[in-house]
Amino acid sequence: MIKIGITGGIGSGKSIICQVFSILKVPVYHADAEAKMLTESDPTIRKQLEAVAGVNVFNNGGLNRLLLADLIFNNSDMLEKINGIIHPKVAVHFKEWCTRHSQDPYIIHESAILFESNTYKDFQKIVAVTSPEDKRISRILNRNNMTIDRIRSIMMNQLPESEIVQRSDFVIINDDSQLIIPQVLELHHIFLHLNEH
Amino acid sequence: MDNGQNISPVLKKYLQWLSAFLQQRKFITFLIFLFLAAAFWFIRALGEPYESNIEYPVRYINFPENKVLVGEVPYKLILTVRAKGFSILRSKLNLDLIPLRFNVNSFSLNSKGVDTFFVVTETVKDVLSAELNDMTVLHISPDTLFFKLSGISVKKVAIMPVLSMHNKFFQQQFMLNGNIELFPDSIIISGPGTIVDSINHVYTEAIRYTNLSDTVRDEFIIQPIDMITYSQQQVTATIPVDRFTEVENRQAVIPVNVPDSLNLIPIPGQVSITYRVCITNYDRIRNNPLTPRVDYNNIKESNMPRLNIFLADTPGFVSNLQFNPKAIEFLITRK
Repeated sequence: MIKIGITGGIGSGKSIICQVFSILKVPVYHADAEAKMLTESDPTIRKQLEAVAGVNVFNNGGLNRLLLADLIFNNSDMLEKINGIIHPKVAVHFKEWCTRHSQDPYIIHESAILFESNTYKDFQKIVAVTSPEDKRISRILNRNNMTIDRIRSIMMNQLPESEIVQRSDFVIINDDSQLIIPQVLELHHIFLHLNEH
Repeated sequence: MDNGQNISPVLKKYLQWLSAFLQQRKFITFLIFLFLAAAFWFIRALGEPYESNIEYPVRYINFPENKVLVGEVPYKLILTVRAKGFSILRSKLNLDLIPLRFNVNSFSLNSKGVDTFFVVTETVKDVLSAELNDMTVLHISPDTLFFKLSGISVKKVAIMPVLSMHNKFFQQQFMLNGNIELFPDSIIISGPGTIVDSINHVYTEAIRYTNLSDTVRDEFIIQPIDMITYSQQQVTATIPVDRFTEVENRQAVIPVNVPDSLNLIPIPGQVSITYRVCITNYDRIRNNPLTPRVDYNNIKESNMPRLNIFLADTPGFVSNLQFNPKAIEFLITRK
């Protein structure tokens, strides 16, 4: 089984690309969603987070995402500590998930911080999803109640798109003018072919 | 400056000479005789024969019952005549010309088709020569008159309001709340059958307002159509106006007309819908959200890799409807 990592900045359209892979019956691991789920449900993570970020990081039984975001925003030490708690658990969870899909030709791992978290080393091929900045902002505004300033500051804290593209093996352009399904189908055939060899 | 000072005395001297000349009686006498000579020459010249073109008025009378003339018909004939200058001058001044009357009932003798008739104008040459007793008619233009007669038809047609829309038609945050109501909503029109048959609607004059912020009711003239008579000339229009809100939400795309054996998967599965709705209708739309759709049949028709989003039924009270994206990609899988 080949492991493929898909990454890209906020609003680049990773999820929609992964949706097409899912339709093609390719197992997709949504690392960010799984991390959120584990943070909410894993008692060890919960205890460690409360120790690092304070008991208020959980309120009414759930994770206070806004508080957590504020704590790690522009605080690299805190970000490193929290990543140090969550990422190993996610890595273990992903390993177990891969075992369940060992019979599949390849699997997809979707993560916005594949390079930042150094998890890119675990994958045979990396696919970058790119999109013009105005399109990315427009998509996020459509689905979230974020301000443009907030979106731009998140973008500033992520790797520049040019670096993501440079470090990736394949690029999917999701600019609303080029079709994405043919790009995904082409990669699908490449990955199936890689598995056969 | 020097030249100006030199010329000025010369000009002054010339004007003095001219003034003295004009005051002489000999010059006045000269002018009177010059005028008399010109007048005698003109009177003598008008007594000579000439060839000229004159316009002669035409009228059409005695229409068959329930028939009217349609299309363009000439109301003047161009006659090339030979006559003395006096007669030509009088006709040019349009004095004493009694219109030539064409008896439309007699056109049936010269039927070209079911409703088309013609008259060779040469046949009225003698009549015109007799009328213009001191002129000889040499030629009549046009040489043939074509007429189209049509039966009178009656029809009931809808009245359509015409809004002269501009940026400040409504006050900010106000819009049209539904359709404009007209009373009556239709009228009876009558006129030549060929024209009546081609009319499906009549239109109001342009409805013009500025900064509307409340419902208005007013009278508007119905735009006239040439040769058509209306049962009434005015209509009462009620223009419903209300404050609007802009709504934006994401809705799942529903594929329609997909064969039972296939799945059509829209990519993305949801689109953003933005529209304006009046506050009074907001609850109606909230209880029955707009559902974006794509039609499987459009794949065959358009042969395009994207399908356009549409609504099965857009309520009349929604405006400025926009989808983002406007078209989506799709995958088709077997069930």
